[in-house]
Amino acid sequence: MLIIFVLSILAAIISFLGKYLSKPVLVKLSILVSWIGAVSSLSLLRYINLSDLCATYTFVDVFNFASIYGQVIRFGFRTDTLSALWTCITAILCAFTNLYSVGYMQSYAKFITYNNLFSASMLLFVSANNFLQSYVGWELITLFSYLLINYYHYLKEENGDIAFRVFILHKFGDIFFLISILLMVVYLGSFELKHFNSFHVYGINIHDIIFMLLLIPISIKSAQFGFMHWLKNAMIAPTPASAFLHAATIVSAGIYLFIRTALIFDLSNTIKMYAASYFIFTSIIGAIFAFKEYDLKKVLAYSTCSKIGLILATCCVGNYVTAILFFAIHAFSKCALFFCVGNISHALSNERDMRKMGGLSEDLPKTYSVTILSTLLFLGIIPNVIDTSMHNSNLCFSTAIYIAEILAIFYMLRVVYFVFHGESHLDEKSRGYLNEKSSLLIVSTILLILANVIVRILIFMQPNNIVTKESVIQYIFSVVLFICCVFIYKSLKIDIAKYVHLSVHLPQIEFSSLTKKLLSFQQFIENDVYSKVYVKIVQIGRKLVVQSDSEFLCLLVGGLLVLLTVINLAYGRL
Amino acid sequence: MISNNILSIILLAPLLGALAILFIDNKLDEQNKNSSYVALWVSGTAFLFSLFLFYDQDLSSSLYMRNYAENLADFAFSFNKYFSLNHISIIFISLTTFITFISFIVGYDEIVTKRKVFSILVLLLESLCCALFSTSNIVIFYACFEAILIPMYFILGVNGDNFKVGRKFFICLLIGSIFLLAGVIYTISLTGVTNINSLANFYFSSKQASILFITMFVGLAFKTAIFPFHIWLPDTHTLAPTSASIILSGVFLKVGCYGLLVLLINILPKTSLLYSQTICGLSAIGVIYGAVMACLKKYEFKRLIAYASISHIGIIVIGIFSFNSLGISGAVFQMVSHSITSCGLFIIAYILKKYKVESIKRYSMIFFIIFLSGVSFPLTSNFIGEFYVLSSVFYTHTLSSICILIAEFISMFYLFEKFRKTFFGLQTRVEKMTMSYFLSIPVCVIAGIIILLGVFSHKFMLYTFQAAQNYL
Repeated sequence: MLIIFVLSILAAIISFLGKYLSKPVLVKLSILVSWIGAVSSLSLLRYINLSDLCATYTFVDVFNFASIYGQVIRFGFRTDTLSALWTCITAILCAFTNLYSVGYMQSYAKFITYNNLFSASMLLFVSANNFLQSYVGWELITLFSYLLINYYHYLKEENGDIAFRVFILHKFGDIFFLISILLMVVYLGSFELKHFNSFHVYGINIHDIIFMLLLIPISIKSAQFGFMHWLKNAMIAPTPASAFLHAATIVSAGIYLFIRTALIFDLSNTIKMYAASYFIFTSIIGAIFAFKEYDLKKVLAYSTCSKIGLILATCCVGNYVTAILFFAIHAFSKCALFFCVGNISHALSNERDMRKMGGLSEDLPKTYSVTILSTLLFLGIIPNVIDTSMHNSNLCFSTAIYIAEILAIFYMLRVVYFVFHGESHLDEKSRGYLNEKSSLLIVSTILLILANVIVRILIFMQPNNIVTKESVIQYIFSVVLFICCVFIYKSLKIDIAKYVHLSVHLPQIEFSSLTKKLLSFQQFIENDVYSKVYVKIVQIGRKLVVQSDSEFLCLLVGGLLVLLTVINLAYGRL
Repeated sequence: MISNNILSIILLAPLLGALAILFIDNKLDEQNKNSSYVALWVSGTAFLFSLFLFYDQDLSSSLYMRNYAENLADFAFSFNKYFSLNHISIIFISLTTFITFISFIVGYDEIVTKRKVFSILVLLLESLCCALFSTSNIVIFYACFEAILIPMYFILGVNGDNFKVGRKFFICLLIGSIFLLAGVIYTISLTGVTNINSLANFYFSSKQASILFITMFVGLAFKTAIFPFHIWLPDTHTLAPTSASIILSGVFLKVGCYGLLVLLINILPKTSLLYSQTICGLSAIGVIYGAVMACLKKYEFKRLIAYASISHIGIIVIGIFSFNSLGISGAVFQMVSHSITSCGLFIIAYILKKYKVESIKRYSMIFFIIFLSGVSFPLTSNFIGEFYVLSSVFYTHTLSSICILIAEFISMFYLFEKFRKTFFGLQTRVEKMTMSYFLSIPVCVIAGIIILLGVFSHKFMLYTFQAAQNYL
């Protein structure tokens, strides 16, 4: 664990030096270092034991960070099943995105620096043995994700603003994280990751309060309903960053924290049920919102919200093993999808709007085949036993999951059809640029798909009772469902094609009034709360306190009041 | 003992340096910058010597205050018997010498016309502050407390005619000093003792203690810039030269904090406990107020830093009045880190004012560290101090600690926003004007210290923890 952390820091330093001294060899070397890290992370696979998630662990102590109330808080690296899995995924995907960015970007040194630093902070967060180190890692994740989202700040004025809004939202959640840590210090007397006995204050279980406070940062990081828009906005980041952060790591930080806290606290079932319904709701709404978007990456962003919601709901039900395995598969397949989108937009000179594409299957045959493969992997049609074994809890739950799955099939089909089939809406200029010369992009995508398949095989070979008869039946069922959906979509497609003749723009799919209201709520949060309200507060404040003269007046009044109270208090106690 | 001589070197070297500068010819000085070199050398050696104080072995064995009366009897200066050291005063002395050194480095670049006057005054100030931090006599404490006003007043006016600003500063702090004078005279008339350590064992009736507490608190609050008494701070910071601002926020505000610790917590513990809720409430208002005002005034960088300082001072005061050793050591840590951070921010403000943004982009990562410390990001020094203060007061003053958290959130909107607006955004081409390497040295050193204190704070905290226990 320590080795991988040091390697990723080293890679960041080397690429920074490479940029500073403008020597591309050093940057290439840093990519090699990150690949060494990825390969050495495979050695952590021996720690993975699905029947024991975090009870047995090894801890490498590095240094004393602080001591509070006589209790020394150590920074170090804890290795158990959960952290080993997350470390593997982070290190491997970091290496893949580093490789991909060489083909995707022109000057990639700064990106690789940020990417490796992000990966290092993710490792710091994942391998924490106490909540303070978790918090430090969590904040560093926020910081470096901000820097990555802010990457194109010099292209547009609004890019920086959007990235800053995302950052502010994350920091808002972090306040609650800090409060819950302080509650742990005060009431539980420790914030080590160990099993806590239940502790009651005024008849309320303190664990529940801490957990409810933690749910806010968790649902912000995992982009659940109400906070979904940050993930959509974060798509201004370069595509490799989106593939690494917004598909696999930063959104899964919430899952990690959820499982960690749920495992060490005894939680009441009521809270779990409420949380589960919230996450299920998010997964369905996210899938519906995915239909609204024309930007390819934004569709993927909403689909990530939906899938993460499913994973978190599965955790709430108590099915942790399924959840983490599903997460592993999802991370790889979503990352591959982002790579495909990157390939498409790279071929079309950074065009990501679906309406301006169409009929690309002949022009970009390699990209087409890669995209089809990764879509099938994502939808679980190429064997994905875990996906179906999630359904074994209760009827309501599994129905909701099926709805989300069907919607996922539809929106992915929509993407594939509008990009690769139908009529071409390319303008002449971008048709001239159309190429798929950069073979590195295709190669790295294929490698990632291979890695995905290997992960699936590994999970399939796990000596565990995940593969049951029921799950096989449900798998067959979902394949049948997929085929049905394809046929339904084909029949729908004919109508849409007629409509397309009339106007260049694709038809907007009609939403029901409820969905519209939810959408407007989402937009309200997105637009009003973060910009208008803030601006208004500042305006009012400016009006009140325009110059230092009026400030002086305010102060005199305030000071007099305070002095009066002090004097009152003093005489009351004399 | 080594440290006896070290203390006298630290106290006397700046005075001798000032005397030496006095004899430098005015015309020669303008050409050769002789006075600046002398001042740099003197303050640098004082800083190096002050670092040796940390290696005093006797202090680590929980000895509270060491009196040098016997050891230094043969020394020519009889007032030496009033000086003693403890852990916290050692920290503050080395902080003072460090900040003065940094201020001279900036002044070398900034001060053009009255180089000689500036050097003399700052050296005088350094000596007085070190005397204040190391004294155990309440009269000497008061004398230094009052005397540092005069050089500071003239330093503010060094870079032109800032009579108006200096007036506001001087009047406010003079009122504070009068309150403190009343408190000191009342104490002496009650007890007849001037040694702070023996005053700590003296019994005051509750009425006497209340009067003493209020007069002394008002006196110290003006200098600490606690919420309703802070009115002089923003204006003074805005118009003062940067090297003066550095001393003002790095040393001057800490004098008040040190006074709170030594005079109020040490001498009047029971009364302080009685009033701790009120004072924490005041400081919590100040924390929020400073953050909001900094948000509103974010177009003037130095004013912004001044309001941010008010916000951070609130945190320090809450830590001091938390009445446990964790909170006090956190407050001491926060004082050190606030001095260093705001010092760095002022240097950045100066650099931004003087040079074009494009030419300093290569240093932006180092600047970023200092800004992050300003918003108390984890792994920077401000976070550690704030976390200690928070965890010590969260149970007793829950509302105040939530105010601190909110202020930390608001700090994103001014400091982080400031950084973002300055260093990110659309690229504009301007002609290059290279920044001198001389100025980049203090910035790099400060960023290094911030990271060092933020990551490996444990040993330093143990050091302050021992001292804090003695005050309770």
